[in-house]
Amino acid sequence: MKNKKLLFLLFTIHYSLFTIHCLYSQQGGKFVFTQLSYSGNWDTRPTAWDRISEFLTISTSVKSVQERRIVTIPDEELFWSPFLVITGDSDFEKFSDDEIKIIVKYIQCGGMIFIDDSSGKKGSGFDKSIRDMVIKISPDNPLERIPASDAMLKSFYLLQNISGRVITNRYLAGCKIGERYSIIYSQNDLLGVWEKDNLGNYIYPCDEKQRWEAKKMTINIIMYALTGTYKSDAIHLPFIKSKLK
Amino acid sequence: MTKGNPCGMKKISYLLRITAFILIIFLIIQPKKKIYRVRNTPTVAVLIDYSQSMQNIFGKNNFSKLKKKIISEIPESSKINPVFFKFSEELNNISADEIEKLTAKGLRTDIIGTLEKINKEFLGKELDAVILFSDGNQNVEKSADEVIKEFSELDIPVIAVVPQTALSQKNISIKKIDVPDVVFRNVRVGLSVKINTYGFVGKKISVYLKSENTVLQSKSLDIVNSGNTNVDFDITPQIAGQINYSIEIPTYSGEQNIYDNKKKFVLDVEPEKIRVLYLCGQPSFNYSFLRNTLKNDPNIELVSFVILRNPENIVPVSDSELSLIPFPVEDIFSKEIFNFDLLILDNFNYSRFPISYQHLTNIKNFITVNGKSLLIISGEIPLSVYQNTPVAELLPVIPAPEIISKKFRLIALSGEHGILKLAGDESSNNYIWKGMPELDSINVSSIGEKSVVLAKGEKSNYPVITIAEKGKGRVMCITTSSLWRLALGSENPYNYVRIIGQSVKWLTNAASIKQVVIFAKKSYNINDTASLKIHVKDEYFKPVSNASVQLEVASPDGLKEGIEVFPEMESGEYGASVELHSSGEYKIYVIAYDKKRFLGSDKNSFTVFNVSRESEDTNINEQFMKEIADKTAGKFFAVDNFNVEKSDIKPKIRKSDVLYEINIWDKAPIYFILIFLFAVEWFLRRKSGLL
Repeated sequence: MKNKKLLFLLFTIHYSLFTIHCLYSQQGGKFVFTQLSYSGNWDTRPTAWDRISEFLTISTSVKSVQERRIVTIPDEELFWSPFLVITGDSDFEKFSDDEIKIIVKYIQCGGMIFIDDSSGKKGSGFDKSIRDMVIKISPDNPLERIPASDAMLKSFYLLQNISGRVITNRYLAGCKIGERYSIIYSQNDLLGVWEKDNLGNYIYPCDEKQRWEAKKMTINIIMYALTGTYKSDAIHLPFIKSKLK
Repeated sequence: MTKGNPCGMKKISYLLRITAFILIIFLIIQPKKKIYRVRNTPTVAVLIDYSQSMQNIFGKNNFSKLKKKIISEIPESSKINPVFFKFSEELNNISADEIEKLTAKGLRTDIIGTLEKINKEFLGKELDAVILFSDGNQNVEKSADEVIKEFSELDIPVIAVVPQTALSQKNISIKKIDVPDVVFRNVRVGLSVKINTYGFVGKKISVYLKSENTVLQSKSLDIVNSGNTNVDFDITPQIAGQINYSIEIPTYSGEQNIYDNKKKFVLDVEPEKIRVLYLCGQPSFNYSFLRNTLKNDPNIELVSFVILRNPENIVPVSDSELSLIPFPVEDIFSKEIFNFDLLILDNFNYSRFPISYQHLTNIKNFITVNGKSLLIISGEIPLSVYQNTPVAELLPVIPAPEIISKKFRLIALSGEHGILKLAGDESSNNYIWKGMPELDSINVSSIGEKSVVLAKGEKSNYPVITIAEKGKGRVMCITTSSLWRLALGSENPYNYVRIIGQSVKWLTNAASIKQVVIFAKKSYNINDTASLKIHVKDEYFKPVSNASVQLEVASPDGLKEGIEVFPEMESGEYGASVELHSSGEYKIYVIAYDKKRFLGSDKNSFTVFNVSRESEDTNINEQFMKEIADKTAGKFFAVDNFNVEKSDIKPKIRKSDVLYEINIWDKAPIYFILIFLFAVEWFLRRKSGLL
């Protein structure tokens, strides 16, 4: 009986390692949607990436890993993931000092964090917890409104409004480190617009135009993570200006 | 009571009052009369240039004649009170008796420094004039203006005496070539050449600017007067690096010295901002990290194109809602490419675009013929897509289509190469490389001909970073799209920044993007002092204050010596001086640390010619001597015409010469006059009935 249990345990470990190995060995130059697992309600939009991935592949040249990657802060895999998503809808236990140090290092080494408040409410518990965390991560570059002229709003689609499942803010906030925003914060439940049930129906009701704008914003954020301020380069400006006319 | 003319009386009364008022003012300001000490003989500093050039001009006998002239003319003169000095680099007191034994052996001539020292020597003492015996060949670099101005303001005339009028020597010499300290490629630079001529008035001479024996420009110069003339040249260096030039004048009949008709100089040409064209086949983390690094480098001007959408992608919106711009294939590959220094092809599949064979040939020519550079990065698109194209001939590796999707560790095979060097010493460098994070996925390839593998994948042994020189240009190949891991996965993200920066530097052969750079002139004469400048910057090219800078100089005999580096002069700028007592090639090495963090190293070299400054120029610089005399209200003489009488040196009256002062206001008659004025005025008014 003991041997059987041991065998099962070994099989489980081996299978897990094999799965992890396959998952990460596929990365190559592909985009990986990595989500942070933490002590609070972190997985509020579990199927969003499946939809985003599909749309991203159809509409852009971005090559992505289909499965989302879930990491905790101490995981080594965090440093294989230059784009980290944090979602939630309620307050959560504060990150320890060591965890904050890891996130600071992650940002300093070139990582980007996208935070999405799924509650869609101003001053939510999640919002308070996130703002406490961001002050610790980036004391010198606090959250600020991302201007409508920023490259993020034209990294693929030309956007003039900030949308989401709900319009809590007409703007995105961010911490600018160097020439780009390394932390992007949406309070509009951007990922909520992607969620569908098994029959393919949207789970969260939303005006369709608003939904479409939010989807475009999501794609732009991913493009921004992959191309930075590319669309602010001088060569693009005359084209973009004429299109915006 | 009889009254006089009241109007006339009134006028007299006013006059008396005004006079009295003026006298009161006079008393208030308490005037003094200074009585000066009367000096009949002025104190004169007699400066005798005993540098070698004084003998080179005339020969030993003539220098003796000069000394005799000084001895006969000055010590015996009752008109002046002389204080004798000899000078070359240093200034020393001598007695009149020592003049006869004086030999012309000084190694340098520093007239300006000598005048400065004389000024200090006589500070607070009497000095009425300076008699300067010299050929005027100042060969220690100093600015004359300030010193001459100071003598002029102190009212000390300098009597300039040259050993002989210059007209007796027939010669053409290149005195000096002025070039800017920093010269950039493709930027026009002006050169100013100072030419000294004697005995060629009315002639026309040719001046050539040459590079490696090729005449670049020539100018014709009409000699109107003997002395110095400037000729200007404009050049636009086309390539970066050290370029040898020379200014040459043909030898004309009767020239005393034919060796000074040619002067060599070296320009250290820096590339202007390095222009990088980055073409990327798809948005990726590799693009994001590399772009961000290049964009943050102030030495780089980046133009990038990343393909955001392929023809098979479907976007359910009109084109006007997208920020996409057309990929200008024809413009880029036919014209614009040649305006860049470095082309980066990242995961770029040329076959997806209307890129013709000719376009690919242009890429090849861009490297091999134009001497530019290529960084090619593979990923999902293997480099094998370029097989049988002109680009394949540029690749330092022979690519295969396979991709190994496994994590691997990078092994630095040439850690000491400029691209991979991350620390000052080998062991520290090896330690850093051993600690580098794992990468992911490698494109299979084997090393190409005449290529160097700098880093390979552990276990698989496939090249990962490979370099090669192709024709006039350079190529680097990276066969993984996960190099960004060196930033995100590393303890020190600057290692990635440094590797990219060093790669660009190597590819474009650019000195300007070095973090640590040592500057020195390219040539010196023996016994010169080399002034070295060191610039220290961090990974983001911000100047570093309080860096630890170690400098080592290897003399021509191979002996190495540590040299003290002066504290920071300006932000991020350090300096050092080296005395050059041997001829040959000196090599200089510098390493800089910020605390214990290695910032970079650099090396440079210069040549010391066994030509003393004194024998380099054997003409009299009459113009300079006249300038000193004119600006200080002194006089200029050739030694044969010189005598103390003609010099018209007079003792000056100085503040310090005041013997005593007389207080004029303190004298009784002044007060009597005042009382008298008031009394008369009172009397007149009374008489006129005005009281």
